[in-house]
Amino acid sequence: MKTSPSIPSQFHGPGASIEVTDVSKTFQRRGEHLRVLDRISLEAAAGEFVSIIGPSGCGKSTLFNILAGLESADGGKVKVNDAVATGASEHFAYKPQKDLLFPWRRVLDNATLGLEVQGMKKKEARQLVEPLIEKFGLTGFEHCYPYELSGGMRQRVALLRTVVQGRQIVLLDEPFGALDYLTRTELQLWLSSMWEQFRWTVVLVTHDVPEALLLSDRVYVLGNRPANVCCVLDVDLPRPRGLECIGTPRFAELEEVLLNNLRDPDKAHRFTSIGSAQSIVDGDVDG
Amino acid sequence: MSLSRALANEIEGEGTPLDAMEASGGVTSPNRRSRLARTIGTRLAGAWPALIAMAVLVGLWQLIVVMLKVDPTVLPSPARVASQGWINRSALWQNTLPTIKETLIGIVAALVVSSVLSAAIDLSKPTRRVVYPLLVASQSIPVLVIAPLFVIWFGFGLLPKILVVILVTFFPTTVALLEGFNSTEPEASNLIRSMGAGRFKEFWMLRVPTALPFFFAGLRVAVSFAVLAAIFGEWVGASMGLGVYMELEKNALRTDLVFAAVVVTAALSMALYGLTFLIQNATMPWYRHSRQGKRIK
Repeated sequence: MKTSPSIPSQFHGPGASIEVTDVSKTFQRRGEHLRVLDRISLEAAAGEFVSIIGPSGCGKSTLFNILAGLESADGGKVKVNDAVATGASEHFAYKPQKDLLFPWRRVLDNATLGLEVQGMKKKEARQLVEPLIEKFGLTGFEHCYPYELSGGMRQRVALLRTVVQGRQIVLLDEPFGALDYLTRTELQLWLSSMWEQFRWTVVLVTHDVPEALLLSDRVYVLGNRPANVCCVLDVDLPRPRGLECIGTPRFAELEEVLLNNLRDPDKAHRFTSIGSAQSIVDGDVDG
Repeated sequence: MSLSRALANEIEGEGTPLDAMEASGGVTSPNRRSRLARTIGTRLAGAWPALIAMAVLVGLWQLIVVMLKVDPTVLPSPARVASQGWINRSALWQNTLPTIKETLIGIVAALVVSSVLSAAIDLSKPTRRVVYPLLVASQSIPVLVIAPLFVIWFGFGLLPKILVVILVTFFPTTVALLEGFNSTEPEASNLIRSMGAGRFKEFWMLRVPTALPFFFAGLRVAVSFAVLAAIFGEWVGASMGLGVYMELEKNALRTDLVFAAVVVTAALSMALYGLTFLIQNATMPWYRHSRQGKRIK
């Protein structure tokens, strides 16, 4: 994919590969042990787009906090580029559910937040980010305050703030969950095209099935608490994927597989015959 | 005080058409000074109802005093207060200056104290446990008792008055700042920490700006006590100041001049109160408009 030469090279993928092996997490609440993650394993090659999908409250966000270095896992390993990542935050750019733009910072200054935290001079950071403003559809709004923006624009600013950090892996936690259907679809298509151009390594958490299919190379389905990977689905839809992709029979087929797995994770193996879905029962990985 | 409250409501209140214009043109704002002048102009224009109410009250007062032929040492007429105040304007002014000085120095010092205290408390939990109870305890010391002691310890100069002002004003701003720091969204803290920020960077880049609106609310409470505190400090023992002036004129049965000094005091308080809004709008340009929920797109 060709991109304009003025965009700094550190914003391009492919980033790093990531391998999560048997990560578990138990919380203690009032003396009770609450097992949230049960030996979660997943991987993404450099430049791959991978989604984690699961019912609400299944521990997706906890997994992300572990990857982002905000929480520690009880067991298991996280490897980035085949090296064990400890306190992994320096590898990951994390985009939480809410846009969390700082109301006192203008659009451009919100975008440069991560770079400034890393110690870069404001002016330098701005110069680095400015070429991307147009790509993110924010031209003319660089000097607006967040309250002046629509929800979709705010999310684009938040995404810009995430990817310019120059980290190797982008973590997106239900990035479009709070948006209306139309805006959400628009942003999904936009993100898809951005990824085509930049090829970041992305791990996306969502509970939106079409979103996962539209964007991902591979989808991991998490079962109920304690969450474990109950199904891995390779999404073989051709790229680039536009709106027309959603109407194809293959899309509908894969959507059904995911929905069935989500509704009934214990009987996940029933649906293995369809497409390239591989089921994992009792934690054993087959294939 | 009804005027000051009305003025405050007006300053804080929902936007005028002019605000809407400013907000929509916010990207390319015109000359800043003319905008400020217009803003002040609209505010004053909005104060008319309060001014009229005040004029009616003063008129009634004048009417009653004249009709009932009240002794001016008991209750002087507003006209007498104004004319005698004007005649004695240089004495009034000379006594107002030290009061302004004490108040301003006191507030600034209190701000330094509360910034340091609140930052220390927010950044370290042990400090919170040790300092917070002391802070609350400091507020239960009656100023009536401590002010004369300050005079005994530090004499009749500026220092004891400044100390009284600090004692009265640092608490509201400290509590406001602490509340403000705590209002930081945990998700925002997580975000900035995931970017690699340590405790101090998180504090400076996230918690301090989050606390600003709270801070100004606290500052307004503090400021409305400050002039009073300075005057009380003077009352207890001083050579100059509005507090001394009021005490002397009261003893001389010049009730009219006491009232004149009260008017000056009220004007001072109101000016300080208004000043907090000017500073707030200058430091938080995003705040006023965002509260009005205006969007360009």
